[in-house]
Amino acid sequence: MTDTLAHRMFRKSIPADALTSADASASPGPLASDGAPSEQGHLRRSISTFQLTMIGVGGTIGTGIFFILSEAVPEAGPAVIASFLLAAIVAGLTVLCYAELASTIPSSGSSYSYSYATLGEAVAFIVGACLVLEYGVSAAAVAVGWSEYLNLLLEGTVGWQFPEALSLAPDSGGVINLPAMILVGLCVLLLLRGASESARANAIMVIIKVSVLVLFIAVGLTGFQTDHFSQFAPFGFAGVSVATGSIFFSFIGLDAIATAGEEVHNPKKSIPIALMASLAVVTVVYLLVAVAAIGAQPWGEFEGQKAGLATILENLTGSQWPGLLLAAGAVISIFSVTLICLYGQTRILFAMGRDGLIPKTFSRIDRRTQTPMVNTVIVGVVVAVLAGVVPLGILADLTSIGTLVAFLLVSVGVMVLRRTAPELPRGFKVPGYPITPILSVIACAYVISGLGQVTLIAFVIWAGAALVFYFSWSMKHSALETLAAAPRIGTDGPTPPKEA
Amino acid sequence: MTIVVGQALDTRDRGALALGEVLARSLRTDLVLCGVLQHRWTGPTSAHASAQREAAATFLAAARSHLPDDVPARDDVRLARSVPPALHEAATEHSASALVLGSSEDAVRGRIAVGSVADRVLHSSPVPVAIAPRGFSVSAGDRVRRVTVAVDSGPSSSQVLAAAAQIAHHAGAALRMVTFAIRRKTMFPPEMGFDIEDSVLDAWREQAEQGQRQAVADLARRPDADRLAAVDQSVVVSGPSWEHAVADLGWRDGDVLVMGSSSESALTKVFLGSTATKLLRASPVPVIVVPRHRGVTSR
Repeated sequence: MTDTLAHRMFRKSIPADALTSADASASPGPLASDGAPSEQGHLRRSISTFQLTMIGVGGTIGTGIFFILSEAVPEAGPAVIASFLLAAIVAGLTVLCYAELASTIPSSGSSYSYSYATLGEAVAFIVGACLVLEYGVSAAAVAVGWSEYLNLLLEGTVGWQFPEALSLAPDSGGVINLPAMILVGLCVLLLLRGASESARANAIMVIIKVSVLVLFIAVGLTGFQTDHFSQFAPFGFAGVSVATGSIFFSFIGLDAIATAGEEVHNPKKSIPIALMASLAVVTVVYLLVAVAAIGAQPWGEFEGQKAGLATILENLTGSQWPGLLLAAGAVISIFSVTLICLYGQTRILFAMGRDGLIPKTFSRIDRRTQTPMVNTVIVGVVVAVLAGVVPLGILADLTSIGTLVAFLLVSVGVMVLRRTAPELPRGFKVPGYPITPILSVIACAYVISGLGQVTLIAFVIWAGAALVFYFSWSMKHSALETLAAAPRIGTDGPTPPKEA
Repeated sequence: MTIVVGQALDTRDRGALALGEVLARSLRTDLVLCGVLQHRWTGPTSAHASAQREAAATFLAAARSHLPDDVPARDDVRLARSVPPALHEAATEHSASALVLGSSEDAVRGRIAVGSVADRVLHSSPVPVAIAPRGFSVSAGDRVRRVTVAVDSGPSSSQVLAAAAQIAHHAGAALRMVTFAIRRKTMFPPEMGFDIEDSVLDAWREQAEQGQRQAVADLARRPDADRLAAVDQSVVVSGPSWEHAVADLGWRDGDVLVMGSSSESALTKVFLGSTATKLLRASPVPVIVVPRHRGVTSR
C-alpha cells in the first residue's frame, strides 16, 4: 500500500494542474481526467444577471414558508421576524462563500463535486452525506407540507379528505402520512419517465408561488392587529435562535445561483448582485408573510396548525375561497419542489456512485428508461418512508442542519483553499475575505446550536455512520483508489470502430 | 421459406406489398399475399362468403399484378373471426421467415404507426414481423443493402443481433449495430448544474458500448457463426429525443432497422412508456421486429 491514510482522505477528483490550466472546462469525475473535453461540446450559455436572480428566487421561495410558521412561531413568538432576518443573513454569507468555491470548478454541479475537487475525498463524502439531508429529507418535508394543503383543498372542494390516522405521522397523532407517500411515489414515476421541469415551467411555478403569497399578504394584512405583537419576544433571544434553525429551511435554494453562476458573462459582478437581489426579494416576501400571519392570528394559535397559511385566511375572512386558492397554488407548486428535490438527490447519489464512493448500483442506468432507475426507486422508498412516519418539525430541522453543516464545511473550505492553492483561477471571490467566511462559519455554528437536541443527536449519528462507511468501504472502492493503484494502461482491448 | 404479406383489404396503401417484394428479393424467397376477411358476429351465409372471397381474390390479384417478374407470388384469402391469429396461422402454414404489415392510416407519410391489428400481430407473433412506413415504395430491383440492428444491452440483445446477422447474411447486406442514448432535458432550477445529464448520458454510453462488445463476442461464439454476417459498424448515437437520435444516425436507401419486440410487461408499458414504440415511431425506414425468446430458425 503506497498511499498514506491522509493522502487517500484528501485526494482530489481533479488534479491541481488541470484546475489551473485554461482547459479546465473538462467535466470532472476522476476517470475523465485524461484531459478530453466532454463529448457533448455545447455552446457556452450566457445568462443575464436578471435570469440568475430569477433562478435564485425560483429555487428558494415557497419551499418552506408554506408550512414552517407552525413550527417556528411557537418557538419564538412574534420575534420570529428577527429569526427571518437572521436566517437571511446566514444564507447570504454562506452562499457568498459557496459561490467562490463553485466558481473555481467549472461545469460541476453540487457542493459534493466542489469539495471533491478542492478539499479532498473525505470532506466530499461528508458533504455528500449532508446533501442527503438537504435533498432527500427535504423532499420528505415538503411532501408532508404538501399533504396538509392537499387535505385542505380536498375538504374544501370535494368535501372529503384523508382521515387523520392516514394523514399524520405517528408522533403527530396519526398512523402514517399516506398522501405524502403517494406524492413521493408519483414523483418517482415522473422521474423514471424522464420528466423534468423546463425553465418555463419553473417560471410558472414561481409565479404561482409568489402570487399566492402576495394574496396571503394582502388578505392577511386586512386583519392586522397590533396587539398581537405586544408580547414580542416571549422566549427571548434563545427562542429567536431556535426558530432561526427551523426557518433556515426556507432559504435553501440560493445555492442554485452559485451553481448556475458559471454561465453568466461576468461572475464577479453578477453573482453578488443576483444573490443580494434574490435574497432581498425572498426575505421581504417572507417577512411580509410572517407579519401578516402574526397580525392576523395570535402567536399562541400557531402550534400544531396544519396548512397554516390557508387556515389563517379561512379564519380571517370567514369564507373558504381565499384559503382554497392559496391551497391550490401550494399543492401545484410544492409538487414541483418535491420533484426537484428528489431529482437532485438521485443525481448526487449518481455522482457518488460514479466516483465509487457508494455502490455502483447508484450510477447504473436502466436501459429502458435511460435513467438511474435503481437509484431513483431506492431514493423514493426511503423518502416515502420518512415522509410517512417522521413529523414535519424533525424533517425540517434535519434538512436545516444538513444544509448548514455542508455550508459550514464549504466556508471552511474556501479559507483552506485560499491557503493551499491561492493561484487557482477564481471566477468569483468572496468579498471581505477573511471576515466573511469566518462570520459564515460562526453564524452556521450558532444556528446549528439552536436546533433541538434530537436533531443534533440524529445528525451526529448520521455523520458518524457516514464516516464509518467511508473508512470501511468508500476509501477502498473509490475510483481514485483504482486510478492510483494501477499504472495507466489505456483503453481495455480492441473496440469496434465507432462513428460519431 | 416465404415472406407472407398481411395485405389489408380496405386500404390503398401498398407499403406492405412493396416491403414484401424487397424482402423476398433480398432473401430469395417466394411471396404470399394473404388477405384476411373478417366475419364477426354471425357467420356469413355461403353466398355472402363466396362473394367476399371473390372480391378479395380480385383485389389481391390486382395488387400482385404490380409485382415484377423476379418475385414469384401467390394469393391466400382467409376467412376468420379475427385478423391477427389468422395471420399467425398463415405464417406458420407457409413456413414464413417473416410476416409483413403496413402502417395504419394514422401514420405520417414515411413513418410507421402501429395500428391495433398490427399491435396484436406483433404481440405474439411466432415469426419476425416487418412493418412498412406509410406510403413505402420501391423501384424495380431494390434490395436490402444494409441491416441496422438496435440493441440495448439487455438480455435479449445477443439474440436480436443474431437474428439481424442472419438476415444480413442471407441478403448479402452490411450489418450496423446501434444503441440509442437519449439525453434528458435539464431540470430547472439547475441545482445540480446544467451538465449533470451529460454525466448520466456518459454513464449510459459506457454501459451501451460494453453491451455491444459483449453482443459481438457472443455472436462470434455461436455455432452457426459462419452463416451470420459480421458487424461492420458499431455506434452509440445520442440526442435530445428519439427523433433526433434516430435521424442523427443517418439512413440510406436500402436500409432496414431490426429490433427486438417490447420486453416490458403491459403494466410497465402503461407507467413507464415503451422504448420499442418510441423507436418504431421515429424510424424513417422499414422495421423488422424480432420476437423475443424465439431461437433464430436456421435455414
